[in-house]
Amino acid sequence: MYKKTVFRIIGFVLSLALTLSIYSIVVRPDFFRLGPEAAVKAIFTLATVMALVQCLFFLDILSEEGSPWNIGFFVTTLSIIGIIIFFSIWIMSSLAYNMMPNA
Amino acid sequence: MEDTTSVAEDNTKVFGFWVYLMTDLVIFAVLFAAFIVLRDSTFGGPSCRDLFDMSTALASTIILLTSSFTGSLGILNVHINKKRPALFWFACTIALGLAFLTLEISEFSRFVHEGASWQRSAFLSSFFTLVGTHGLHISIGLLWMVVGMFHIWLRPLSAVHVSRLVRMTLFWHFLDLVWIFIFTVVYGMGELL
Repeated sequence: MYKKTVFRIIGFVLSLALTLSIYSIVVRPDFFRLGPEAAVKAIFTLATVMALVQCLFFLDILSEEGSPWNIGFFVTTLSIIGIIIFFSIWIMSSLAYNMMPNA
Repeated sequence: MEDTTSVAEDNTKVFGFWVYLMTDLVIFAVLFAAFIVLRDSTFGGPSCRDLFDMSTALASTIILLTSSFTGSLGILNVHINKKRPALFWFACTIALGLAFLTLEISEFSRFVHEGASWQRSAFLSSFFTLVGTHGLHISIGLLWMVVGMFHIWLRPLSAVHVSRLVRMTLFWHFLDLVWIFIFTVVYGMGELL
């Protein structure tokens, strides 16, 4: 109980810190000497770290009670999501490029 | 009778719920893909940069993160059979969830009043669908939490009830996880690009 509470507090503090750093990068990208593209990459990296923090500290994805099926299914879903998002963006951007009337 | 659920059966139920959460994640992934593809199709209407207010988004994020944290404290107290603190933490979670929902609804009504409703452009349709679906999940989670609190209050904390409450908090943490990406992709990227 005590160990788990400490675990949750650590997760909460880490998530708050990551949220505030995403916010500060978005509001002041010049301060961090980041162009728009680099800033987007930076906030995506931070968001991924934050998702990992949520999975480890709140969803308890690696806890001893959880079955290996849970994490296996999670990884499968993540790959499906990767395929959906990556290829949607890719196919729609090349479509937009090739359909331009004056290209 | 009901209380003698074995650990194996309980793990199966959590796995079943986990499968549901993953399919839900696929729904959100499709909505995210649609939003990213359509975010520049403003049809002469307002764009991300014109509409979004980053400080409101930050407030929503912090509220939801805190509610996730208080929810986890609630379930820890359920595990050690302490009803009163559990009820207190779940009440905090509901209050924070309601605050989140109020912020979101007021943002939606501000957009609609400014003429930026879901009918204005493809960008706004995809925005309202993505964020609205998340808000719908939050409302269902809040309803579930009210029912769960009545269970804690009126009934003894049997193994069946504890396992239901575990799935409820799992759902809540999952919604927090989705919101992190809404915060980054919709609001963060909207401000930057």
